[in-house]
Amino acid sequence: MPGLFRTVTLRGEAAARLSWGYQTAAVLRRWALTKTDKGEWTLTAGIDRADPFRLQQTPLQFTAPRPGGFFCFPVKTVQLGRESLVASLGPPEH
Amino acid sequence: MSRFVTPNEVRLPLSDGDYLIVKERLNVGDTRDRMSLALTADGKTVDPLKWGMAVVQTYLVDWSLTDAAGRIVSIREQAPDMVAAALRNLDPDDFKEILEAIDAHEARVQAAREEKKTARTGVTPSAHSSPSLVAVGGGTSGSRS
Repeated sequence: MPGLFRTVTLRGEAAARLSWGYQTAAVLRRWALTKTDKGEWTLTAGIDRADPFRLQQTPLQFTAPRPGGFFCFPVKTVQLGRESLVASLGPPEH
Repeated sequence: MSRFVTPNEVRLPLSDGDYLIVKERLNVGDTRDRMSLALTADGKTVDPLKWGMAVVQTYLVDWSLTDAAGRIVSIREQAPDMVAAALRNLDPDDFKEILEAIDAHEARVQAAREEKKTARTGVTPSAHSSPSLVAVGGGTSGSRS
């Protein structure tokens, strides 16, 4: 039903991460993915551990488990806080 | 040219259509992890029997290997203990094939880097004063780790 929802939010507790190639840039907890009515995806998440160097590299990918597979989004920008981060994401890859 | 190691993956073919996905190159953290995995219990020397397992654990990113039910035994982003457990349950001949594929990959990458360095500087690299640990442990297929 297109147009019914203006925004969509997906939430998860654990096992999500930002990766730079095979390297883990950040392990995330309590993450939320929000899609705005303009089609933009934003990730907010708590940080279990992070590598500040890897978080500045490109390309980064956000992955999180979902039933039957994984969410996978390219990361456009990351704002790193002390215990959390906010990232803008491109369209989901699978 | 960046002095940082870009995390590129390389696919190495095995027999029977299987393959490994390995790190193209190790960075400083990886090489220290490898050394740490291969140390003797007192931490003073490298245990040659642990070296092969340490090499495979450090390089391996993923593979196509399946269990008896035909399911892929996924190791990508798994905890090191889980990867080590999977490796310890391999047939020794298959572990040897994996180790030899990774040793050959490392030797190829190292040779290509030396060639590039020579082309850049015009200086031929001198022989190492001590044998590399790859040479020490490269042919080892057993492990006590």
